[in-house]
Amino acid sequence: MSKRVKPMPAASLYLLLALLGGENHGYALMHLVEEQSDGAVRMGPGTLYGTLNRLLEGGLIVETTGQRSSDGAERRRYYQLTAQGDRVARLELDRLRSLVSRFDGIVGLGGV
Amino acid sequence: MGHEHLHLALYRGLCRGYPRTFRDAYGEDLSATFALQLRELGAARCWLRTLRDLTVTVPSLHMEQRMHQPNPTHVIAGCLAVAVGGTMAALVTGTSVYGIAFLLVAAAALAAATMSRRASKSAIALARSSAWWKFLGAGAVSLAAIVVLINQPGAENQELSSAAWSLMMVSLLASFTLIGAGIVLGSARFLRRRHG
Repeated sequence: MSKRVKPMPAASLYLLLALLGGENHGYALMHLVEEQSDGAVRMGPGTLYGTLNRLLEGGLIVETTGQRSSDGAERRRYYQLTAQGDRVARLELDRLRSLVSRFDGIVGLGGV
Repeated sequence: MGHEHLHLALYRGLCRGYPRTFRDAYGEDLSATFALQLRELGAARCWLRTLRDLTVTVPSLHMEQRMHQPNPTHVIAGCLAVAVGGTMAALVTGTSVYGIAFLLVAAAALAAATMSRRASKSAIALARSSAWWKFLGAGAVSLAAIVVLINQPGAENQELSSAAWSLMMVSLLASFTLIGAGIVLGSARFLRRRHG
């Protein structure tokens, strides 16, 4: 019997998916999430860092050494997925894929 | 952008509503992100998004922290405050059945307080708190506002809808609970001073 996967909150899911592309800093992640969700998930600073903090505590991401931003003006914290975070992100993708394929079948039969 | 420092100062002030640990960890990042958004979106859109964000995240982060680190003293003090406030509300409104129920809650909270070793330890920290007068003041102001509203000219002839009646009762209970919290914290502080 397959283990049931509990769906993640949208902000956490999009942040994990954004980090599948590699490490990044908070503000860039916020933009990526907005882009990848077609503007449906617009985070403010509190939601962004609250969610990143939750993901850090859950061991799904780690903070990498602070790097200077491209303009060299400030030090930014970068985040990257842990092995567990990568696994969870891919599991979520699989869950979404199976959901889409299930409903694709129904739509294909004219049920919806 | 003009007045950016004013916007930032206001945002930093509002960020004081976040739990201290979160502020200490992310305070600078929050301000830096806000500043970038301010430049990108302009003041009106940035504030609209930020206020919505603050409204949701401030209470949820407090709640989250409480759930991660449940403090039995705070739970017990909360129960006692509800019990004291409820008993006062029951006495004022003449509903003695509820008064008995609230007294039972008070007794249960006291029993839990004496049984919990962890609670008795952290009760000392709570007794040091000087916040009792803030609760007492907030409760008194809230109660005064309700009394003023009830005694508005012509209000006695108006039939209250059930929603308005429920809202008034909840406000009344909340006011008495705040007063109760003030009494509980003030008594704890007084006892601690008296017995060292």
